[in-house]
Amino acid sequence: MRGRSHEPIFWSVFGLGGIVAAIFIPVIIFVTGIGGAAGWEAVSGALAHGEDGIGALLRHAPVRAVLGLIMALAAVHAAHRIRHTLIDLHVHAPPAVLIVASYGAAAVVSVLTAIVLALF
Amino acid sequence: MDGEVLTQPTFRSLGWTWWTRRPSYLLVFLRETSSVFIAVQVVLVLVLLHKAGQPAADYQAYLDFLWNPGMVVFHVVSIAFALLHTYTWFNLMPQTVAIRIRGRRIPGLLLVAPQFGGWAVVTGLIIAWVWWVGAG
Amino acid sequence: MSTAIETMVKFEVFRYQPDWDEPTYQVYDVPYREDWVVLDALNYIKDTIDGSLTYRWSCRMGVCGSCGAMVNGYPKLTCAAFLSEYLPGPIRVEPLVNFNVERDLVTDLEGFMEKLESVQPWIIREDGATDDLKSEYLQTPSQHAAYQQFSMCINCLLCYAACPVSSHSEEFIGPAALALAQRYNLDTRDEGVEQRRDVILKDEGIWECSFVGECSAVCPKHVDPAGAIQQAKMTGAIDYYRRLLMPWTVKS
Repeated sequence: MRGRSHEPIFWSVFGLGGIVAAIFIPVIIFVTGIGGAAGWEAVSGALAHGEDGIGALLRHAPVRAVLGLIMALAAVHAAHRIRHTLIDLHVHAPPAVLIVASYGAAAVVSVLTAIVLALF
Repeated sequence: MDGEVLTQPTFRSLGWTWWTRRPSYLLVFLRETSSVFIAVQVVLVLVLLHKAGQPAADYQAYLDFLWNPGMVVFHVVSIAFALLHTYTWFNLMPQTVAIRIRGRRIPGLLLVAPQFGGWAVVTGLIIAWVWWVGAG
Repeated sequence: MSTAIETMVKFEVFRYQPDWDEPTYQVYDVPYREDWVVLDALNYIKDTIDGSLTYRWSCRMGVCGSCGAMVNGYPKLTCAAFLSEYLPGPIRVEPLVNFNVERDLVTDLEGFMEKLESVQPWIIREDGATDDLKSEYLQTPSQHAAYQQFSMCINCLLCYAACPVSSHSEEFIGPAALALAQRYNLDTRDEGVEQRRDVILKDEGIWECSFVGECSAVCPKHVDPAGAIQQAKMTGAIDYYRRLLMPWTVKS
């Protein structure tokens, strides 16, 4: 394994996150950020506080597990792209610094999401 | 002649502004930029989930922030970038996955179309589900 | 002789000599001919205006791959860049970027040659029978089709000049060499996958690529190096996890 890159780990999660983000992120943005604001009462109703609103959306554990997975994968996907984009913009940072900063931030977001969803 | 090297090579780089050189580069740069919007949206949803477990007033204050006109503009820009990601991701799949049947590569459309189909179905189901919960 | 006034096209040609401190652009007026390409104009300049202009060319028909240059900022084979596409001018001709310039339009190919050699772009047999002229290795048309596209490369290096990764990483093996590595890895007659693995699967191999894809867009032979690298990443990732999770299936 000497000299072998460990980039496959990042790349494969990036790829998985890319598919997940492609499928789920547009509709998530629509539901959380646009539908309610546009005055669609069914959407704002579903996001209302309490058991009849967002509580009902997240009542079932599998839903929370899938949502957590989507968020974590999308976070790593974004981290990987941001890291490579910075490199392609000729940002001269030590590789280890970029790796820790990008995937580290994604890991923090993933862990916080898991905690919030587990305690929901 | 006596082994003296006259050559003093000068390196010329495409440069960090490569993405301004051509529309095709710019599209790739925008594609990559979608990641910034996806990252911010993931954080916004994380805060939303956190606030949902807080008292109603706190949660409502966050919704008011999330749905103020300035943020709505940001969401619209975000969804445009997210859709650019979706579009480019599905379309680039045939270059990454070369499936051969009897020696021939299957047409790209056979890989691309099912992805868009699946995306439409999932999006429709989620909106219907949210609708059903919100109206019920 | 015709007395009609000739249409002239202004050329701004990158000039650099080893003993100069700074490169410069020299302006030449070249008569416009409908059937001329940029290489014809360079030859006209060298023959009639300025014999000191230095550039590489050989076949002038898109086969040898030696006449690549930046034409108005974009990598082109100068033998395939018709003046008519650039009217009314001026037409700026510069050496391919992401390379050291030795003199005028001539770039230093040493680094590329080392990278090319490092991926061993030839058929490797485990029994070492590469020079056994009596051996015959049969291949079906569909086996041939699996790598045929990647074998069209003429090493013109336009792809390196189009690559943002090559613009910041001198070590990046780069599009053409990686496409050729993939070409031999996909060849059923070849048994060198193991030997190429370490070079290809380094960071400076396929993993630095961020799939900008412009290498494939500029390729005059439609090789699709970006696709080759992406497919190698897929194989490389599977290989990585296999070694990690099922090490007993990997021969050392």
